[in-house]
Amino acid sequence: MSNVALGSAAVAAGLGAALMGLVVTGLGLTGHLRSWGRYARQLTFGMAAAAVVAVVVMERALITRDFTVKFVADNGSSTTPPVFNVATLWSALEGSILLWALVLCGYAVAVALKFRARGDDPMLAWATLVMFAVSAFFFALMVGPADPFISVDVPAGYDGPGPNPLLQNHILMAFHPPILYLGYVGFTVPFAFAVAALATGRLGEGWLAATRRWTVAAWGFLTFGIVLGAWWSYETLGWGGYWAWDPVENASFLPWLTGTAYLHSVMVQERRGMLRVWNLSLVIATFSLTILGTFLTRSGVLASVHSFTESGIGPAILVFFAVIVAVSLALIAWRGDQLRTPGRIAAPMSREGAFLANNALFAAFAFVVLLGTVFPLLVEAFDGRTISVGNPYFDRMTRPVGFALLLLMAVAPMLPWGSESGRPPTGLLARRLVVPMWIAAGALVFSVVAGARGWAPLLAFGLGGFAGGAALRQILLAVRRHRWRGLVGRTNGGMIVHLGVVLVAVAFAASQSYVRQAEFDLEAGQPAAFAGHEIVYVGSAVVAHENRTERVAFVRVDDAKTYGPAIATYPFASQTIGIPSVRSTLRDDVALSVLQFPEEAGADRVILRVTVQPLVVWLWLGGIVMALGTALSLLPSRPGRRQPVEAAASEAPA
Amino acid sequence: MSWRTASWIAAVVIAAGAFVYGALDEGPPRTNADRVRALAEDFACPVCAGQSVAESDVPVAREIRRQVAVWVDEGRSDAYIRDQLVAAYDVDIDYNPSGSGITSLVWILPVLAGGGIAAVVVGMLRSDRRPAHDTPQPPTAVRRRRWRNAAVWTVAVVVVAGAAGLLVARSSGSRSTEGSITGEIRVTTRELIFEAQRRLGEGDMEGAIAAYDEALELQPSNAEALTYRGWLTSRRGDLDTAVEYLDDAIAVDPAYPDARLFRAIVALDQGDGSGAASELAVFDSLDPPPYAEELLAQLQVRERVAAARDETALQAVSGLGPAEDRPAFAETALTVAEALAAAEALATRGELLEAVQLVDWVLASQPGEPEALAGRGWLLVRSGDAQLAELGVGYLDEALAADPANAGALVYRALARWQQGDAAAARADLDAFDALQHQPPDLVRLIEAQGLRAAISG
Amino acid sequence: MNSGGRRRRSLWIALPVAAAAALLVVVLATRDSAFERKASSPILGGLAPAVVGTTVAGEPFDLDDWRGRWVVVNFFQSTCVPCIMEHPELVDFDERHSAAGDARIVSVVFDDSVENVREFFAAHGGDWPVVATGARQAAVAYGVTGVPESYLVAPSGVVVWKQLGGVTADGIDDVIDQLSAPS
Repeated sequence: MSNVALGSAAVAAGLGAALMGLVVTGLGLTGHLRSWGRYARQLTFGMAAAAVVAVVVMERALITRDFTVKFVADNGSSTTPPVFNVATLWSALEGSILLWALVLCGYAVAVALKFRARGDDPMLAWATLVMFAVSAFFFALMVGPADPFISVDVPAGYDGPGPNPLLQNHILMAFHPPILYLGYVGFTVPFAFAVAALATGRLGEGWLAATRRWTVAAWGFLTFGIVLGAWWSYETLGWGGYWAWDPVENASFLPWLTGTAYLHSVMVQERRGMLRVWNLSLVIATFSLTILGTFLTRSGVLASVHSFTESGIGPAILVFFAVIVAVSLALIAWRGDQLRTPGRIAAPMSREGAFLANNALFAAFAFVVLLGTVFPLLVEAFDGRTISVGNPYFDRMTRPVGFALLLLMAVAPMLPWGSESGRPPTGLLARRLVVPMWIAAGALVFSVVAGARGWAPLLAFGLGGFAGGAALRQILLAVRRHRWRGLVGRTNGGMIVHLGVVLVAVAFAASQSYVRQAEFDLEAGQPAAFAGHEIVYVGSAVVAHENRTERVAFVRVDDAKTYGPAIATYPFASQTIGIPSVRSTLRDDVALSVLQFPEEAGADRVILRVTVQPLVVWLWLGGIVMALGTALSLLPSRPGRRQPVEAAASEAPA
Repeated sequence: MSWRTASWIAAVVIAAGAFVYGALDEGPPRTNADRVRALAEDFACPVCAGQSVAESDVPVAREIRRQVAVWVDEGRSDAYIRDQLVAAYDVDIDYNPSGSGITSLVWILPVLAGGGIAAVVVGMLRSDRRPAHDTPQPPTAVRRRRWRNAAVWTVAVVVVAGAAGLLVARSSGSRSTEGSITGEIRVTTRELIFEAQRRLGEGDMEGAIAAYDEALELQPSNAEALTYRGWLTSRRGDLDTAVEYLDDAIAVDPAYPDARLFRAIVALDQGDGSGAASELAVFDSLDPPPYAEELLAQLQVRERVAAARDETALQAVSGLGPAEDRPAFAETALTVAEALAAAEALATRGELLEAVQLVDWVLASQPGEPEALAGRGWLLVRSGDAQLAELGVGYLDEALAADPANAGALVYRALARWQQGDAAAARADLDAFDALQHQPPDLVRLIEAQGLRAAISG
Repeated sequence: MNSGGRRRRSLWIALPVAAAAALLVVVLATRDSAFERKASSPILGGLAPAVVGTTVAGEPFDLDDWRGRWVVVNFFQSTCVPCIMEHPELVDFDERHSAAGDARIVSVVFDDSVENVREFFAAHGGDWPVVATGARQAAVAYGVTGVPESYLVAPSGVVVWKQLGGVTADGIDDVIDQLSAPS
């Protein structure tokens, strides 16, 4: 059986399973089918199997270079290195949808297995229904406008162009998209349960408990995926930047912002039963924003380096987005009567007050980013003019929010949950924050002595010290009390995540504020001194790889190792691709990229861009700490205390 | 004072001290390269998808970066650089949305939203601080008061946040005035001259003169402004002032055709035919642009110059009296050229016989003078009579025998031969003319006017 | 508090959100692809930006000296294939107008070396000024986005036409005829 036939059959089977799942679950909900749960599970497994088969077939086609598959003919190549051959799946539109479907099916299977004990609970039925609906949509995309398995006739000896050169020159490309998708798609699960809670009217904390870990896991993947994306961009684009407020970067950042807000505000609901509408809205917003992100990435309305080539799936995704928003809003409006808040926030200076402030800040942050991203489209629609919104806007508008969040990160963990007395816990704060304050003072003095100037970065360092000190204090206290168990569980893992955030924030402020960059025109053997570093252009050489030809400039940095930034020419790419080389230390990075080898007889010259940025490495380390903290927070904090699924299930329907 | 209070005070003082020191001290100055990078990040690469000029490696981004570096090295302001790029690439190159017009909303809305969110949070905390009373239905008066309070607060928040948003928009989206290419940059002479031309095109002569005056204030030695200022002055009838301007222009740029043309016209208006003729000769040698030729034809400058020349020439011979009573040519103060010019003028008036007599009179004194022979020949050739023309060719032959390089004779004979149908002979003469070192422009124009080249080559 | 009031309140919150979302969807749905959107050049209709510099032959050049003629300002690079392909058309155009002198060409080097340009003109013909020094300033002032790119400057000094990619002699002549026809 040919790859095209097999793959198409698998996709069709997946769509069939999803649609049957919808029918079966629907019949179960209306009471027509008693043992719908078992059928739904089996259909989920079937759907997942179909997705796995489709992905395996596509990978087989890519690895065996089966150019009768159009996707392979368009994006594969006999010269692509093996790792990137596998990664070619997500380097183009159809394959990325296939990967999305696979991840979605994986989550569906996990949900089916995890909650099999819940039997025929209508809440689970509704959640399953939503999962099937979302899956059906993505399979339908692959049957319709984003069909990955189209057959083509190619002449004998045909070889494909391979993926976009930028997507096949760094190993991070093999990890960044799948991990990002694990994050994006993971938010489907809390969304499904949120819709189920609205549909069943069981708006208590049951659905929260059921999906808390799923949300945390999805958030962790999304966080790590974004950091990996920034890292990839830093390593491959060669301008010394890692975050450019590009529309698609913003599209991944928006669900992160609302998801982060949710992770905090959910604690208020768990503890005090408040903010129910708000939490549901955040979950729905997070999922909707992931769908909006896929629309922006795949419809071509916004110009972005991350955009896939234009395709017909834009309208389909937009309709899907509209349906999600409409249905969710209708449900919230309908269930408004049952979303009454039983509790109250007694005092502003309390943990719940801090979470409220946190959510206000994240909401403002998300608004700023969303507005900046779609504003050019709005202006064009109403005014007909083309404008751009970029770096200066985002820098200026997000900076105050960032400072406020850092301050809150320091204070909030120290605040007690509010008591009925409502008296501000000044003394408590003074006792708990004195050490973080000293750390902040130390950070400021150290920064100033080390040469840091300017109010904005210094404020970031001071607040970073404050927040980091607070997180460290909590972790140390927990470890002293519970030994290694002081590192696991939601609260302690959360503090480790906070540490990671502080690292990222400080590294961001330092690298953005103190970046130095210059272009040098060097002849072979010529040295240049820049920003405390000495670089020497040793010479160049042409290196032929299977899929590209590189001209490498050998550059010695600080009389130590020699680095090899290069310019690569791919046979199918219209222009050359720079391959930067970075010397990283914990203190600063020296990023080298070749802009040009000026053609001139008898001279070996290079135009080299040198970017020196402090503390860049700490961005990636911070990202790793955040991922690690997320993982630790998923571990149970106390032995034998499992998340009581049954307890949640036993909650009486409202 | 407890130890903790002391510790707090110490920590805060140290932190504040370090912060203030570091925030006030400017540190090492930013280099030009740093400024170039910062600027490059604020502009979109015109052909890239979502990348800034700093990020992209495409040639355009590289060229823009280098041009920005040049501007920075020249000491230009950020606003200047922004204006230059926006003038060339349109506003969407600017990543910093303008703080005025519809785009200012991008600055105002977040501040409004922030104010709204803050108001909601504060409202929640305030309402929660009130004791939770269990009365399900508050009295109508209380509800009404609550509504009024809410309305007042909403308006207050919108006004305050809106004003703050406007301030943010003003300070952040700052860019020099929109709608003008140059903005705050000083208007250049080029633009003023362009403006003047535009006004002239619209028939606004006074406006054009004002613009030229402004241009001359900026750059007193601008040949174009001087020329057109002079020309417009002459159109207003002030010929003497016009001459001053035009002579200045010619002094600045002797090779500016427009100045020469206008000078010639003004000379004609002043009745200075020979001055006009000499300016016109210079104009012809300068490779003038097409519109100047058009103007020339439109105002019949050549005709007027020729008429003035004829007038002068006739005046020179007018005192001689009738042909029979004339003294010998050699005894008069006339030159051969003057006599020939007078003959030409007579011929132009249709007095061919008089003209021929005048030339014969010259030849009587100076037999064999090539110019005179050629002139006599040309008069006969032009008579239109075949026999006379044949006679004329004989004179031309004679002239060429005396001076084989006589340009006039060559051209006249070529024209005569062609009229007689002997294209080969005409071509031979024309080739000989082309081989001469110097081709007088009036003869070149004569060839062109008669269509000689096209006729004998086809 | 009665449930009716609550329901109304949730409706009050949901409605504006729905309106905003609907607006967003409508705007997104009606946008053309960013790949197709191409703004027209802002310099069209305005005074031609200066082209001042030194030619590859070492002579000074100033576009203003050519006021009164049609001028094709052509940005090119010796290694770009479309530039090589359009070059014979430019040569043809130059020959058509060299006698009358009513239209001229000036080429401006874009990101290239002087030697390459000299070789290019030696190989492909063409005898008109090629600005080398000052070329970058001109390119950025015209808003050049790639090569080849040509602009037509009217005798009045106004930029009247812009062509991304290669030009043809007939194409430019058509534009000139169209614009010089009495309206």
